[in-house]
Amino acid sequence: MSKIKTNGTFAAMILAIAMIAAGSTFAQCSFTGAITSSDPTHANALATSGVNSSVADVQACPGVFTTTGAIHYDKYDFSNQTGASASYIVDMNANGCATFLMGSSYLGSYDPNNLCNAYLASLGYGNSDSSSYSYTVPNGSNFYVLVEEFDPAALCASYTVTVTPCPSTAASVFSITGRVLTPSGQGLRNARVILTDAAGTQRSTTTSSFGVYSFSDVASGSYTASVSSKRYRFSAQLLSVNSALSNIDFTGLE
Amino acid sequence: MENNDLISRRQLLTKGLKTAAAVGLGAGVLGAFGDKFSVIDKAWANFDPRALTYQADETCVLTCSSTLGPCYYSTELVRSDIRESYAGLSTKLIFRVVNADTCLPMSGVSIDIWHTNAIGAYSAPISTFCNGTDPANQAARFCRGIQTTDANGLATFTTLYPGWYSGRTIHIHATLRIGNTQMVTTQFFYDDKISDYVFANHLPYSGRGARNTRNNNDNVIGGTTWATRILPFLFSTNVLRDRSLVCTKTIAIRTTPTTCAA
Repeated sequence: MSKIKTNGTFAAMILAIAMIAAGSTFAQCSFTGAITSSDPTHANALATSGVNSSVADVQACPGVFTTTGAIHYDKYDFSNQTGASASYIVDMNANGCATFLMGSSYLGSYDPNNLCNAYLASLGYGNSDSSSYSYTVPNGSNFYVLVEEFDPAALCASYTVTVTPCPSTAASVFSITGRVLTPSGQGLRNARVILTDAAGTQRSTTTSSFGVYSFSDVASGSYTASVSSKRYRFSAQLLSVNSALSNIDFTGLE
Repeated sequence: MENNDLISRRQLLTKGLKTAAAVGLGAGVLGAFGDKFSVIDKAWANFDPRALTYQADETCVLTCSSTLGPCYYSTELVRSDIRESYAGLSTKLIFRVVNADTCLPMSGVSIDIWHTNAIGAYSAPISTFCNGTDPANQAARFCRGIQTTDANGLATFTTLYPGWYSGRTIHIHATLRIGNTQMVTTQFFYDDKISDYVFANHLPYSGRGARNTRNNNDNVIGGTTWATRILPFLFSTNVLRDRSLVCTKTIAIRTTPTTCAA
């Protein structure tokens, strides 16, 4: 892995804001890393479409190509905390690699066993020198930048990946908000909403007069959300939390 | 010493070509690599050169000339696919011609290229230095062709990754014309790491033994300052999942033939 963040400090962020205000170029975050045999791996790899994703030319997941061995990768976790939808450019430099690098990005989650899940963008080919792709991330969403060897065990002694503008690092906790409603659609007050994590640990909150509830600081993971009320029954919901969730509503059953 | 090199090279060419002919026909060029390389990613056929980001050095600095060499042959073959079913790693060469003064793309510029096949032989009835004495080499016209740039200044060839021959690094020859006026004759090179990758992993290259010349000791681009001098002539190389390569190069010329200042 051995990733080194070369800038993107708080000072750089302030500078970035100043530069944006001045209509100048965006600040970048550059990361120098290596793909090593101790890095995590996934089976197979994204296919190559021959076209780099771009904001102007959004690409669907190109599909999965069956590789002869596992692919080593580095993952960088970011979040768009700009307050608005934002476009990011990922520049990849493979000059320090013996062969080629592949690059891809994911929105909200990354599942190494399902390479098209949450696919956001990618290079259209393995690159041996420098190449870039771009995409748009909704406000408040985490996104993940993958740097990978192109061929199994090809590794890479040194690469640089640069993300422009410099994003925030990924949030690790999120909020969940929604409403609890009567069968006729009225907000139900004083209903108890219970959040149960995979280990069975529970936390709960009570709805306001309009049926509104919220949980803050929920760690990413899988949860069951349920509602306890003396007057109505509610179906529980399974939630996969890796970004802020809103409009998680419950409507009572007679 | 030089004589020995030439003799061994001729022998190799003669032997190698027979192998190439046996492997290269029938199964299709991409199918000839064995199981490891048999899956064809259709994307390659539809490759969109607009997807590529050109290198910072590939702007509009006048492209300098280099020696024509003894292996040019005037084929007048206007064609994009110059493989002629020979075995080797399919490689797309995408040239962009720009005006060195305005940086704008130049259409209507013909690019005439020639290079060796996968086992290091040139085609056509030329000097035996270039292709030994095998009559098949002399009868063939593989790895030679002409394309004219479109409105975006682009011209594309589908060819094979060149094989090595003794005394030279891996290179592609090109001469550019506007009408009948020769604008520049030069050579383009691959990063040695790409040649190493191809020669280690692909037939028939991997069966040919080690080459003796790399970019740093090539008699055209080699020498103490090779690493910087080669940059304007170096392809930017990408790979697709079927292992085929896509190489891009920007060439800058003027509207009249101009020689680079020494």
